[in-house]
Amino acid sequence: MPATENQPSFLGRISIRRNQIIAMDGNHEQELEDLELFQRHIGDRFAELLSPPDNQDSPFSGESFLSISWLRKLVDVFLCCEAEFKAALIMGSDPSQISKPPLDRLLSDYMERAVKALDICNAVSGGVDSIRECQKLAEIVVSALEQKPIGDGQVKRAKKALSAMISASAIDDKENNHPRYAERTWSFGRRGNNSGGNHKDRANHGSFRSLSMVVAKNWSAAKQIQSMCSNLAVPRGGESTGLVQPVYIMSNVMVFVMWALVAAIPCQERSGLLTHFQIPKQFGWAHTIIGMQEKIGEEWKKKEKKGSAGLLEEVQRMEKLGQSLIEFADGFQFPAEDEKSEEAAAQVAELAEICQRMEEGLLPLQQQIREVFHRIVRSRREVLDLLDHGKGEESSKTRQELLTAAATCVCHLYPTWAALHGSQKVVLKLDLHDDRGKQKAMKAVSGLQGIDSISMDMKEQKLTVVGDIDPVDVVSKLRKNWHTEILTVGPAKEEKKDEGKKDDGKKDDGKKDDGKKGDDKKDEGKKDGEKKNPNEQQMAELMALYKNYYNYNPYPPQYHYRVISSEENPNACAIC
Amino acid sequence: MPGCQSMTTTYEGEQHVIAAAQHILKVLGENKNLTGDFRRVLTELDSHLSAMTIITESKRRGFSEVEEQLKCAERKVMRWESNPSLIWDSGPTEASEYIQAVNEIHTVMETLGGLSMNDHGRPKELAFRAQCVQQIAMSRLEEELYHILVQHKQSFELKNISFPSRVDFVYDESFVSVEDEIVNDTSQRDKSGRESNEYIVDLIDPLLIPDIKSIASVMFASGYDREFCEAFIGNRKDALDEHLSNLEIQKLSIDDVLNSEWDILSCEIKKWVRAVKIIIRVYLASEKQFCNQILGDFGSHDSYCFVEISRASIFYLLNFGEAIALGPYNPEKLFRFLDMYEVLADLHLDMEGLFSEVANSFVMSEFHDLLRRLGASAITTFLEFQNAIALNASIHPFPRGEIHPLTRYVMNYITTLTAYGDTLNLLLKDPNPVLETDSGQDICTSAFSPMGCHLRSITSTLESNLIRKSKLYKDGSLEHIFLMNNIHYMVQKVKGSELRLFFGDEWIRKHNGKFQQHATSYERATWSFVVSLLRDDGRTSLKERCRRFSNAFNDVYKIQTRWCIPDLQLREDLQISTSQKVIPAYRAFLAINSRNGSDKYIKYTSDDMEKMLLDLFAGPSMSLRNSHRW
Repeated sequence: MPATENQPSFLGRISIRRNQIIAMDGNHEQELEDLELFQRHIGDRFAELLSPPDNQDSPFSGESFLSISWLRKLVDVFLCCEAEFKAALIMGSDPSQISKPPLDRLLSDYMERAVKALDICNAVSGGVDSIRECQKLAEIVVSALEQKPIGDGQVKRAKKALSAMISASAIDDKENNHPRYAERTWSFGRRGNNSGGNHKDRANHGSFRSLSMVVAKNWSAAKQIQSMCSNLAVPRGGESTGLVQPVYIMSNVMVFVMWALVAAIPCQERSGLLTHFQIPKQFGWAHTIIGMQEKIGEEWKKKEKKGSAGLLEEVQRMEKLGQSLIEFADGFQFPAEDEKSEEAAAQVAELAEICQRMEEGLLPLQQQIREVFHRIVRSRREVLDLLDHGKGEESSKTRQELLTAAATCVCHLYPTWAALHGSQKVVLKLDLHDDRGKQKAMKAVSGLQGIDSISMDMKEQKLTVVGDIDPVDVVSKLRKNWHTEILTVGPAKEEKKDEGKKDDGKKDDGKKDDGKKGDDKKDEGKKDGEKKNPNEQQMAELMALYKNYYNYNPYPPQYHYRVISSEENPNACAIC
Repeated sequence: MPGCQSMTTTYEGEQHVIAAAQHILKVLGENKNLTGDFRRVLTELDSHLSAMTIITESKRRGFSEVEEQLKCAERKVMRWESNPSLIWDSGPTEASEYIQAVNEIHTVMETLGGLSMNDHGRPKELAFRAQCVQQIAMSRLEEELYHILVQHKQSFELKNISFPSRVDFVYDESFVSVEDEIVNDTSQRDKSGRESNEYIVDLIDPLLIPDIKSIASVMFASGYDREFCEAFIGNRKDALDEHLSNLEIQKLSIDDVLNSEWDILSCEIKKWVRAVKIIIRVYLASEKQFCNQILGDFGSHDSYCFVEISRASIFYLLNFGEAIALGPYNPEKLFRFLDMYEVLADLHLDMEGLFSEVANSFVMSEFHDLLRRLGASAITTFLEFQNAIALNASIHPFPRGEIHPLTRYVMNYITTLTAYGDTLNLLLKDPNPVLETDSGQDICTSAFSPMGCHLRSITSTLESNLIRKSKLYKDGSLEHIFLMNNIHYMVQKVKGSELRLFFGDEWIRKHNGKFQQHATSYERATWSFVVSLLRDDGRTSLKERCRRFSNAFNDVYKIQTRWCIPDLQLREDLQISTSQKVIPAYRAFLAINSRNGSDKYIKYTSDDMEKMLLDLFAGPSMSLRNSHRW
């Protein structure tokens, strides 16, 4: 790949320049640079995926195109791009811009796409499960054929597992294939209608049952990709502000990554996958993606001929080995010829290696896909908040006023009961009959703060509580377990009743309200201040993240699986 | 087995020792309280001992007898291959004979394995033959296992599994037409005491568990453990999936969820809440026990199988939760969010129990994630609800000054919320609460709890919205009637429900004052003027004063009989207090002026007027009924 292709193309530059002229903001110089960086990073990252630096000569090194570790890198790249995109989105513009056309529409399209990607994540995750089931069958094959010398029995055992494995992977995107039901009827009818063939292999076992576990019945991966692509129009220069481009680019990246996952891993209903997604060629960042897409496309076409389950390199190799091992098993006669059994032994070793790789890679891949899921969910929330905020600024001054006028936390207006009333004596009637209940009740009440004394008269079922307490608290504690009635509430010592004062208070309500309004306004100011704070904090965090990315350090520490990934694949870091 | 060879000298003695050891093992094995490890050790010992028996036996009896043994076992196995019926359906003796045969093959193989290392030819051939028979038998056992698992699946009525649960709220979720009576009993909550084994059921006929176990042990011993696990997992997974569909759980994609109507979704959520509870507390707990019963003796296989069996279903259930938590946060969703949150929080311990030993805590972290997300969604919705109240705007004044639907809606809504008081308190205090055994026990439902604060804040938002709405009336008196009605309604709602605990007496007292204030203001606004017309200001003639008063009173009557105070007590109170203000003044006026011969100007007696005052605020029905008067 020539180095120049990784740079934003001339055309790309032009369109950016034009944007700059349209949006005459002071910030736009910066924004432009950001955009250019963003595009270049995407180009770079995908370029590394397209041609892994070292391992081109050794075909089965485990790092090759469409292998498990390659997919894991792809997912990593997606996560990096997504983080960078979000940083650009949230920092690069003021909210009011985001909530105005065309960005508002583009962003909400983007969000819809993201939601569709969630379903794909789930489906792919189910696909990984089904590959794991194949892996388990392959492990049986390995453990059967590993034994030396190989006897007829073990060969038969292997054959059984092999045919289950192969039929499992042959069951692919065809809609009406419900292996599970076939299997069930088989289980019941197996002995009932003794139709000769006693030892049918469990060929119908259908390991890809997991597919139907995860997604809805009529769900189609291909259709999902297709609907992700709808509305994905190349932004015209005239209407694009700085952010229109990143939204468009990120959409393409997302669709591509999902598309590649669907192609690599068995998913429900993938027919026509190839035709659903095209990236326009005129963009610099797109070259590498298009390159990869073409490469995957070729594989896909081969696959369609072979009827293979997924493009995942390990799966393809497993199928191939499975085929030749089944031939070996079919032709097996005891005692085995040395040449043949040596060949088989090599194949078994390879199969064992694949199983090993799957064992190590599939679950982490699944977790990464889950991480993508969660990331998309989080980002979606953040962007929606952003959109909301933008709209809020424009339209809802009244709403803000209303809210704050009424709702400044009432807590402040209500001093505690004890502060208002001083020490209280509360007499309660409790539906209690025995000492245990009494103890329980006393214990419940004694947990409250400010209690001076508690006494219980079992004869009259009266509980007397004295202290700086809120009668409501006392009652609510007790009501959980017993029927409770308040008999009297009063000051603990015979103090002057301030009933009169309270009445005054009532009459003054009107005035009080006026006074409160003033207070509320003050509070309003406070609230706004507080509201901004978390926003700024978020910004700072994102800024830090963003800078991290620009320093080519795409691994923020919070991803638990990353630790594993970098340990296992020394190349994992090389992407970025 | 080199140890055993050097250990003994005489065959007889050896046999005795082994027999004694086996007997001890058997007795030990019958003890129910053994730990898994110990049990495993016993099983291993047992198989070692049998191997020893065979080896010593084979040494004694020689090779030909081993061959004979294999042939015998082979016959037994092959006999079933041509038999269409299932072994385990044919009776316990058949089954145990078969198992016996497979065991024999295994022991033969072990014996031969020891021999064929240094001996070629015949023993080796025999070993391969044994291998073949073993494979056939294993394949057969796998089938039998499948069949047993499918045929003897216990079906039980889900109705028998009942959880003490909250009364399902019938809740009208629209802003209009909210009936008052719908929210009656919100206090019946469950904090069910939980016993870990309480809900465990038999997934498979318990009589067959020893059979399955014997298949398991024979397959494990023969090195076919993978086959056993795969078959077992596959079958149980299907069964679990079936349970899910029996619980009417449809597989919905996230797209579907987001595009569903709320009514449908709300139904799905209710089903989900029930299903999650039953799946986790009943099926998964039972499944785990079942796995343990069958595979507990074989190392970590039981937890591996359990995780594999349960993963897909758990993830499906969690994903539905995630999809719901994505959605827009409309106020009506709050209850469902809280339902979902509570059910998961409630199941937290069960989940810990199910997945704690599992090294892969992926499931648990996902579970916690979802719990957090649902909690956040609930709180966001709760806060959003306040926004919605603040933003609810009217263009036209609400007719007759009645209780506004918004007031009804909000008050019923928050009354319903009290049922979730503990959870909300917990979430408001800390959006990501630490789940303890008794969550929410120590946060009291008091006026000063976070929930109390928020509820009061919500009602004050409502009040200020109502004040805004009241400004739409052209008639100042109606403005007061409207506010009086609505605030009175709020107070009644608070007094008559659990809300009382959250609002506190102070709030009630204050708001009692408020609506009384509005009543007073109404009297002042309407009647001060009317009564003032009676006063002799020295300029207007008696006739004119009478005329003006009558006209004013008529106007008031005409207009205000159409107004409405739905609460009878409140209406009566206001009528009485109005009477007390107006009638004495009128009587006095009549008394002063009766001497002047003003009778001809007087339209009503004071009694008439008192009666007429009783017609006020009766609403449309009354004005129709009494239209004959005018």
